[in-house]
Amino acid sequence: MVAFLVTALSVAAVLTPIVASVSLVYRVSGVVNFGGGFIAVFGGIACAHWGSGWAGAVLTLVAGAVIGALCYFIAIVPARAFGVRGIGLTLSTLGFGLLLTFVTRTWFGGTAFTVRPWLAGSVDLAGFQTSQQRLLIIGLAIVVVLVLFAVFDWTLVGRRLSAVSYDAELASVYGIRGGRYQLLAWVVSGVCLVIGGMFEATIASVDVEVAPRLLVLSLVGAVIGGLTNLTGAIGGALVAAVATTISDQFVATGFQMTALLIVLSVVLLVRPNGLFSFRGTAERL
Amino acid sequence: MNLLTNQATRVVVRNLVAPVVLVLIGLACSGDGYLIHLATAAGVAYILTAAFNLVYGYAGIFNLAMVMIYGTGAFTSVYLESQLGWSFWLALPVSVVVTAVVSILVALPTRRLSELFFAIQTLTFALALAEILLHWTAFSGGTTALYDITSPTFAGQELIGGYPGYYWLVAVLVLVVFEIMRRIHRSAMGRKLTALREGPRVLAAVGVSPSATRLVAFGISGLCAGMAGVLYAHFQLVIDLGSFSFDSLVTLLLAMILGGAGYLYGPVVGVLAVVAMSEVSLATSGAQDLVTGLGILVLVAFTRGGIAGAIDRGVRALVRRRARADAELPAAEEGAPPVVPELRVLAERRADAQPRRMEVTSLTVRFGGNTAVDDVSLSFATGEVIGLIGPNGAGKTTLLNAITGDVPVVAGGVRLDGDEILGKRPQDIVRMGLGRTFQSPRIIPDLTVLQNVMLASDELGKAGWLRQVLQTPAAVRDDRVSRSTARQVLADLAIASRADQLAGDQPYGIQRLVEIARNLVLGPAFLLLDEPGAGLTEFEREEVAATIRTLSTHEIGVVLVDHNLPLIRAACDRVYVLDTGRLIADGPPEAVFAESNVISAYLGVPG
Repeated sequence: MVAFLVTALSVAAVLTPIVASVSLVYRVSGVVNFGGGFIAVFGGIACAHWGSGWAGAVLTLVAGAVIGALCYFIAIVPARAFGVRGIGLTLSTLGFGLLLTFVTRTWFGGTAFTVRPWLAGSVDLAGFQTSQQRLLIIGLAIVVVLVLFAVFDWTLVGRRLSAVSYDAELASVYGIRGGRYQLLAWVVSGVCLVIGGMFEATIASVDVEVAPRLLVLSLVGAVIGGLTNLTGAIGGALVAAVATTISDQFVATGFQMTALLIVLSVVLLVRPNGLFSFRGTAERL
Repeated sequence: MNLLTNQATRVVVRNLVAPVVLVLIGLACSGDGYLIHLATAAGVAYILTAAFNLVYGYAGIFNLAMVMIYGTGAFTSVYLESQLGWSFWLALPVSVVVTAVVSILVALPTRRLSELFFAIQTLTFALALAEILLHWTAFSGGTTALYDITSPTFAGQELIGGYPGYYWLVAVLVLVVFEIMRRIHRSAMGRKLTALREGPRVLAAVGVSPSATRLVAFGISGLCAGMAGVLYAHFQLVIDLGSFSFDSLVTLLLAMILGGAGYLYGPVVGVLAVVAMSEVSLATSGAQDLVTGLGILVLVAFTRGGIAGAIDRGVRALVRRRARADAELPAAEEGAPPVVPELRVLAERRADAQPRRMEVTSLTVRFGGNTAVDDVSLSFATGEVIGLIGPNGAGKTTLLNAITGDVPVVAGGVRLDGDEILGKRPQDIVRMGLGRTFQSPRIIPDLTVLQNVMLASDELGKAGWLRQVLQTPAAVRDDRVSRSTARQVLADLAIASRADQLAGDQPYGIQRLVEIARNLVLGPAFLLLDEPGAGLTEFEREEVAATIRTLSTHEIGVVLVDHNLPLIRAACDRVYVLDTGRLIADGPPEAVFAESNVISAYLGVPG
């Protein structure tokens, strides 16, 4: 049971920042970031490359912020200027993800990388041996979540961001510059994605081939969460993590995506708008 | 006569283009192993891309499971041949049936999902299926590749992938797929798929089941994707799961948007461009991600409808310029006094119509804790025009939506000639003779005005979906009848001159008329008009009033929701007034407008 809990929570720790990032960007820009998996992988590999100390991690975070901004300026702004909407923008982020993969491959090579654990050694939890690193990323993920909550729920910046995501036009009437807050959302999202990638790289190995899997994990988590708020994102990440861990530990290894598909299908059959979304049903015809 | 032979020649030429091109390519490449390899690969890629174009380009369903369905076709055929000893010629049709079924299985549980959620669901499906196949080593070879692929034989000749014989096999199937796509493109099915892209409600509004149309798209695209998979396996002669990975999906997406989604020639152009691009990135080695990434970014931002879309727009602009030079467009329809339209189609449809009656009893609709329609009872019959008025938020549209099956009802009943229609699907209610229009006109902007109306007149034909897809003589005949019916209605409503223009380019008033025309074709017993006068000029409104009066002379029962009191007064026999979901008054317009509670509901003066 302890083994299951620790594994599920550490998977959730990797997923939570990534799912939060996908849902934040969706809320503010209306785009599902199909480049997410690629950015996370870049984060993991870059951190492995730039040294396992705190300096490498900080450098990676900065890179994440830059990549988030670049994604906004390269994939979103030009396409929007030409009137592209919906799935088109999503495709555009996929294009950006592929570009980034090219950069990752060119700079770091295509092999698998691991980040040396920030905390070495292992602990004994009720008879279950686990690395301290796993516990550390669970703790760090909680910190990330608290920071996100703090920034978005308790500050004026956060409220303005909510205003922009709710109705950008109305927000602009009140003097809020929508573009600036969208950029902010993309930057934060870039940082969150590389955090997820780094977490993954400290407990497993990361290479460019992992990106589609991370992408699907993040999307499924986001959809289960309903793409509406941070609480939903955390819920979605937890559900996805629990589903994959159950399938790995109690059914058979190597069927994570199948488990995820089953959970996603059931959730969408019952609640087509996601498990944690509470939207009105009225639609104007 | 000259004109006729001209047209006949044009048809023959059009039918010969594809086979001639394929034969020329085959002959030109036969001598060169590399070229014939490339041509075969392009042929297979075309079939796959055409399948994706059908489901995404036409029907607007972003099915990311496409590549895995393609893979399933490849593995199934190889399994049938190597494990069960079947011949290629038997394995091919069985495999495509399997993939069509898989494709439909993807479609069934995802009916209610939004575009985005559907994309994510199908992407997950694809990865899950890949995972399952990975563990089923007898079927997929697991992590190792399958080499045990026997080439098909035809007339004693072995058709080996990469050699001219196999190219000819692929060419024949490319031709078959292209011909099917061409037929779908100009058929009633093509129009229905395009309508589906804009949202299922328009289809339901002409009595077509959106789910059934969707299944047709999934079935045919699954079939074609499977065929591409079978051909791919016997072309490469070695396959592994890696061939159907995320990277292949990305390439497919690129081919689709590069060529132009929703255009007949889109997949052709797209595949040619991607083959050219992959040759380039082969030369620069390892830059595949760079080329595809840049390609997608640039294409999404700067092109609408890819290369085929650009060509199509160019042709349209050219035609428009020529039309303008001919100055054939009649003088503006405005300015003249409103003509009372003569509705010949209706006269035909409603010649011996029986009187019918709608009965709404104690209808209640709630949204959460909000009661939008509260215990409303009313009734109306064919041949009468009733008005439904009330301030904004009074529940007028919700009442219409409840009657037409668009919102769930908490309590009450809606009876048509004594039969309960509550709980029926919108398209079935339309088929029972209850048409409606919407507050914002539901038209398909990418179809012409004529095609929009044909969506309805197609439904009067007898050919089923299969005959529509194959364009059998019966379907062609239906098509001709449908076209002339639609033209006649447009002529009746005095908008025939716009028949061949895109509906999306039309002003608001015309779009409303298109919507009404679509309903008239079906010859409904009742027509519910939701704010037909909104956003119209005074002149256009008078025309609407004249049209409505004509409808009632054809024994159609009209329910008119509008805020414009002169319009209501001019058109209606009786008026119902709603306020905060309740019925507060009913009777002849003059009497009702004089009632003090009606005045206070509208003007907010305490009664």
